[in-house]
Amino acid sequence: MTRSLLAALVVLILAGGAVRPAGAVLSIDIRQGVQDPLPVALVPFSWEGRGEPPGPVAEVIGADLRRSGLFRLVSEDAFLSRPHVPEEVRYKDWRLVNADALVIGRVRPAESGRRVEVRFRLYDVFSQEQIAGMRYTVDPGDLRSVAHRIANTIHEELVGWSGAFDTRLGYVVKEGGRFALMVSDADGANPREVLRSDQPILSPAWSPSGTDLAYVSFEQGRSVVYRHDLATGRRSQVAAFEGINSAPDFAPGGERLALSLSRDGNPEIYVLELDSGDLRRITRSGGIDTEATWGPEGRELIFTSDRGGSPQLYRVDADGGPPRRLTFEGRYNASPSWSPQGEKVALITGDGSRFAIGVLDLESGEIQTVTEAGPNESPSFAPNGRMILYATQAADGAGELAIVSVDGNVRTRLQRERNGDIREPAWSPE
Amino acid sequence: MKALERCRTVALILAGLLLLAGCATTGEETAGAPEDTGAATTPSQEEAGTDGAPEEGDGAEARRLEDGAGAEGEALAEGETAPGEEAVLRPEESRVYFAFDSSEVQEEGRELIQAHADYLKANRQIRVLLEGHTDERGSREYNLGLGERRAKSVRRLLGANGVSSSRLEVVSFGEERPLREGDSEEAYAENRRVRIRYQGEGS
Repeated sequence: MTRSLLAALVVLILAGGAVRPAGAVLSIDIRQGVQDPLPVALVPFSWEGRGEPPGPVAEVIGADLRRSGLFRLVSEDAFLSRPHVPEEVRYKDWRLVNADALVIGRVRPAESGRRVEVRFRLYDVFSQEQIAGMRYTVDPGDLRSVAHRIANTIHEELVGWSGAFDTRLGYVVKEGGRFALMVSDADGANPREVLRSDQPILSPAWSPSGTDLAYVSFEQGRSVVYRHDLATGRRSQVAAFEGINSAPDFAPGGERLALSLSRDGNPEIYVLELDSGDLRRITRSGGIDTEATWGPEGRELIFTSDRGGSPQLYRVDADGGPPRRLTFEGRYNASPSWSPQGEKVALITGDGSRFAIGVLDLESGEIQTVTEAGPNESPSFAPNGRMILYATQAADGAGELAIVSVDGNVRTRLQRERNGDIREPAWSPE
Repeated sequence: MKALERCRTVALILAGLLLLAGCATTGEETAGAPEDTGAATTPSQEEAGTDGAPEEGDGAEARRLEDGAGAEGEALAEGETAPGEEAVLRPEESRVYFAFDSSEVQEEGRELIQAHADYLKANRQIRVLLEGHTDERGSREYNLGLGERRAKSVRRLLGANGVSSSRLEVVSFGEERPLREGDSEEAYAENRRVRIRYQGEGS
C-alpha cells in the first residue's frame, strides 16, 4: 500500500505539472472579488527551447492572480506588444490598455542537463520601474511550483502580502461510502491520495514543516490519531487510548501535538510530546473539550468546550491553568483556527443548525461574520492569515470547499470534478 | 412498537420469576451504583460521574425505571418458549433516539433500554457495543464528543438496570456514519441515535 502510494507519487512528479490526473481534481473558481481589482497585464512567457514548452508558467500565474480576487487580468487581445525581455517593454503600450502592472518572462533550457531556466520581471507601468525580477533554474516538474512562487512575489509586491499560492491543501473525500485523505497544491493541481479507507477519516492537521499530517482515522472501528509522513508514506499511531482520540493540532515547532482524548471519562484537551510520548492533561471539566488550536507562540491554546452549557471558545495556557471564555454571543461557537499571525481566530458561529464562518478579533473580542449562515464547517486559516478555507455544501448538497478572505470581500469555491463529498480542509504552512 | 411491548411483557414475567427465585438480582450490580468508570479496563474514580449528561443522577434514573416496569403487561403470544431465561427475547429495536444536541434519554428510549437490560441479564455471556451517533450539523469533533455522551447515557441506564458495565463498550462515530443522508429534520432525527449492537452482530 505504502509502496504503491509512493510509486503513484513518483509518477505524478514525472508526469509534470501540466498533466492533471483525471478524476480527483478540484476546480477552483472565483465567485466574488474586490470592487476595484488591480489591472495587471501578464504576457505569455516565451519558450526558447525546442519542441513543446515543458509546462505552463504564465497560465498558472494568471490563474493564481485571478483567484485571489484582488486582480483583473487585462485581456491579451488588447495587447499592443508582447515583450519577453526588458528591452522590448514600452510603457506607453501598457498605459493605453489601462494596465497598472506588467509581468513578462521567458523559459529556456538551462545550460546543463534537463533543467529549465525561468526569468520573470514585474513592472509598475506608471512609475516605469521594474518592481521585481527573479531567475529560477529548476526541473521541469517543478515549473508549477515556480509559477506559484512568481505569483506570490507579484502578489506581495502589489498588495503587500503573499498570496499563499505555493502551498498545499489537505482534505477528505467521501465517495460511495469510501474515504480518502488527499493532498493537492493550493490550486487543486497534483492531487494525491495519502490514505484510503472504508471508515471515516477526519481532522487532518499539518506539521509546521509541511512534511507530516496528523489525522483521525476510524479504520480500527474507533477514533485513533495517526501521524503520517507524506514523503515516505510511513505512519504511526500517536493516540489510541480508551475512548475518543481526536482533534490533533501540531504546536509551532512541531514537537508537541494538542489532542482531545476521553480516556479519563470525557473529552479533555491534552498535549503530547511527540518524542518522549509524555502526555499532559490541560483541561478538567465535565463537558466536551475539543478542537484545540495553537497560538503562534506555542504558549496558548484556544479550544471548544460546552462546559458552560453550549459549545463556546475558551483560551488556556498550554501549561494548564484556568481557561478563559472568549465567546458569549450566539448559541454555538466552535471549530477555532488560530491565525498564524495571532490576532484572529476563525470559527463557526450559529444557532446549532446553521453556521456562518466568523472571525474573532482577539483584542476587541468581537466576531465578524464573513459568510452567510449555512452548512459551513471546519475553517482553516491560510498561512498568510488573509484567507480562510472551509467546508460547505453545493446546491445539490454535495460537500465542497470554499475560501473567503478575512474581510469577507473575496470568495472562491473549490469543487470536485467528480461526484462525492469533499470536506475537512486544512491549509498547509507556507 | 410491537416488539417493545412484547419485551416489556417478557420483562414483567422475568421480573416476577426473579422475585420468586429470591434475590437473584444481587449477582448483578445494584441499580444506581456509580458505573461511570470510563472503560471496563481502566476505571478512573476521579472522573466518575463527570462525563456524559450531568443533568440526571443515576439513582433517580433507576427509580423511575422501576416504577415503569410494572405498568402494563400482556400474555405471552402463543408459540413462545416456556418461561425461563431463554424466554427473554432480544428487542427488535436496537436504536435509542435523541433530541437535538441532547444526550438525555427520552421515555421511549428508557423503556427500550430496560428491555435490552432484561435480555442482557438473562444472557450474561453476551457483550454489547454502544455506538453513539449525531446528526450532521455543527462541528464534527464536537459531535464525536456528543455521540460518546449519548452512548454513555445509554450505558448508565443499562447499568442502572443491573447490567455490568464490564459487558458494555462505548464507541462514538459522531456524525460520520449517518443512517440517512440528507438535510431534512427526519434524517437528522434518525441519525441522532445510539445503536445497541450485540456481540457478533453485523451492521
